[in-house]
Amino acid sequence: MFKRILIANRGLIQANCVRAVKELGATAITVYEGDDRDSAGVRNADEAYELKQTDPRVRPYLDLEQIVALAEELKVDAVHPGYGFLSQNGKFARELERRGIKLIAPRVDGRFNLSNKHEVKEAAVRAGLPVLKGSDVFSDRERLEPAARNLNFPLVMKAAHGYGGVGMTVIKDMRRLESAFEHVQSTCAKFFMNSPEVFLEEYLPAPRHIEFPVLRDEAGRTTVFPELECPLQRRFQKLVLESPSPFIDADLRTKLQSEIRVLCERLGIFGFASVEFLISEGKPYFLEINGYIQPSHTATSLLTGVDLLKEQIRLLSGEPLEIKQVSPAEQRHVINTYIYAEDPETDFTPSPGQVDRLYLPFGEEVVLQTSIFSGARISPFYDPMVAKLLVRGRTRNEAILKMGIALEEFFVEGVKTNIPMMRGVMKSEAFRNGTLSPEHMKDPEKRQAFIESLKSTKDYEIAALVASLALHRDGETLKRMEVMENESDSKSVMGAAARWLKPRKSRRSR
Amino acid sequence: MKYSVYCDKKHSVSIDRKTDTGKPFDITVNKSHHDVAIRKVKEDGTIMTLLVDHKVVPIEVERRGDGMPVRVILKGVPFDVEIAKVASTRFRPQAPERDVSGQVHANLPGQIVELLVRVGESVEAGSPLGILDAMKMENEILSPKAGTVKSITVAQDDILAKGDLILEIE
Repeated sequence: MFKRILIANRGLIQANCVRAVKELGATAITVYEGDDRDSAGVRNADEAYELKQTDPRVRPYLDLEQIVALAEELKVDAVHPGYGFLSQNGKFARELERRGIKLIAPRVDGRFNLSNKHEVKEAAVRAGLPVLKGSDVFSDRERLEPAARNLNFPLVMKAAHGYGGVGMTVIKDMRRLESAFEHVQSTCAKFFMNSPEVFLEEYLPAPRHIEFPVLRDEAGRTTVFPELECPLQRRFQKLVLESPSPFIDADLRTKLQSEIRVLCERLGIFGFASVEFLISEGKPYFLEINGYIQPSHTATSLLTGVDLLKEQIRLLSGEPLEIKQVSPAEQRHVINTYIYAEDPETDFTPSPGQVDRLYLPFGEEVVLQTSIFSGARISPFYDPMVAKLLVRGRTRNEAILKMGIALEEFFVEGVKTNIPMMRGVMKSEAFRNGTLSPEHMKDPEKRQAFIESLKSTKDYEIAALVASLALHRDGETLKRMEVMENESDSKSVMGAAARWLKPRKSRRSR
Repeated sequence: MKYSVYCDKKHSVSIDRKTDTGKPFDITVNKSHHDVAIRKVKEDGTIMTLLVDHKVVPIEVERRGDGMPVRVILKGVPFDVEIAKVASTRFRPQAPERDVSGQVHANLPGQIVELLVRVGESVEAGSPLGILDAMKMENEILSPKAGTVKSITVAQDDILAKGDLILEIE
C-alpha cells in the first residue's frame, strides 16, 4: 500500500478521498485555496497545504506545475486527482510519473488512453458492443460539414477528451454546427483538455443513462458491479441516481456485464472504471468509459457494501482484487440525490453566499455527505454541488418515500438549493413510472410544477399567517417605540434607550 | 388586527394578542384557529422559527422596499404573498416611511424635448421636470418626490435608452 497520498481536489471528493486514505492506514495530505480552508477535506486531512494563486487566469486546483512540485517536495507515493480538474490531464500523469509518483487513475497500458472517448469507442466496436452512429475525430473546421453530412440530426458534439459533461453540445441542425464547434473548442481550452479534437454522434432524445462500475486488478481479476441509472440530469450533470435500475431485467444485466468484462480485458483496464451506456427503446448503446472515480461511488457502496474509492486506491497500489462477485442485491434499492447551491427558478444559476442555517436529515440507511456547515461560504468559482443524499430501502417505493422525507428534513438557509425541486421530483408520477427526461429540467414551467406540487392548502394558510405576523410585529415594534418615547422625559432606562435609538432627523429639523 | 393576504386565494388573518417570543398565542386564518409560538428570532427581532399547531416551521420573509412582505419561504419552498388590507381595532401601525429614490430614469426609450428645471431648483413631488418624446407622444417626466435638483445628466435633444438616468433629486 501507498504510505503518503496527496489529494488534489476540493469539495465532496476531497473529503471522501481523505477518509478513504485514512481508513487504508496511509497519510492523507491535501491542498486547498484560501476560500476552502474550512472545508471538511482540509479539516480532516493529516496535512493540508494552501495553494498560491500564481496566475489569475488559472484556478489553483488546475495549477499543474505547482501541484506536481508540491507532490515532489512532500515525498508522496501517489496523487489522487478525484474527478474533474486534473483527473484526465495527460501531462499531469506524465510529470508525476517522471518523478516516480503514481497517479491514481486508470493505467494507460501503452495502448489506450481512457480520456480519449473516440479511441475507446472504436475498441468497444471491436469488442462487439453496440455503439451510436458517429463521425471520426477532427479538429479542423473544414471537416465539420463532411462529418455531419452522413449523420441524422440532432447530433451531439463531444470533445474527444471531455469529461463529466464538459464540452458536450447538442446540435439541432446544420446551421448550428459552426457555433457549437467554437463553443466546444473554447471549452477545451478553458478546461485544459489534452487536445482540441471533437467528434459527432447521433443524439438520442430521451435515453436512459446506465453505468456499470468495474474493479480490475493487474492480474486481470475483474468485478462488474450492478448498474446505476441516472434518470435526471441538468446540463449533463446528475441530479438523481438509483441502483439497481428499475428498468433493466436480469438477462440484459448479465449480458452487458459479460460484454463489459471482455471490453475491459481488451483495453487492459487496471483500477476503477465506469462503463456507460445509453438505453433507448430497450436497446443498449455503449457510450464511454470513465477511468476517474465517479460521484456515484457512494451509491454502490450503500447498495453492495463495497467501498469503490478505497478499492481503487488499493488496486492501483498493486494489491490484488479480493471481491469475487457481487450479485444484484435482493431487496435493496438505493436512491441518491445531488444537492447543488443553485436556483432552479432562475435556470440553475449558481447561488453563492453564506449558509446561515443548516438542519440535516436523520434516518436509518439515510446517508448524507456534505461539504457545507453553518457559516460555510459557497464559492462562485466552482461546481456548486454541496451534498449527496442517499437512502436505501427494501423496495424502490420504500426508497422513494424515504428520500422524500429526508429531503424535507434537509434545510439550508442563506443560499438557494435544488432541495425543494428534488422533493417535488420524488413526489412526481413521472419519476415513479420512469418517464422523466432531460427535457423536464429544461422547461421552467415543469421545474416550477415540481415545487408547486409540494404546496398543500394548509401551507398557503401558514404562508398568509407568517406574512401577517411579520407585519404585525412591525406594528408592535412601532408601538413599543412610541411608548418608550413617551417615557423619554422620565429618567427610566427605556426612555434613555428610546431617545438614543430614535432617528435624529426630527431633531435636526427643529 | 385583521389582515387580508392574497396567496393562492384571499385569506383573512386575525391576530389579537401580543406576540412575545416564547409565549403561545392564537392566530385565526379563515376562521380556523392556529396555535402559534415564536421559537427563534434574530437580533433585530426577525422571526426565524415558528411553532404552528405544534409543528416546527423555519421561515424567511422577503420584503419590498417599503417593508411590505412579498414572499414567504417555508422550508425552502417560496410562496408569493400580497398584503391587500390591514384593519385595526386597537392601533394601526404607521405605514413604514417609503424611501423613494431621487433618481429619475427614462421609463421609455426616447428623446429629451425639453428640460424644465435647472440644478439647484427646488421641486414638489409630481411637478414636471422635463418632456420626453417617446412612442410618438410627448411624455412629462414627473418628480418622484419633493426636494432640490442635485444633478442633471442629460441635455436637450439627447436620445435615451430605457433606464438611462435623467436627473437626480435630493
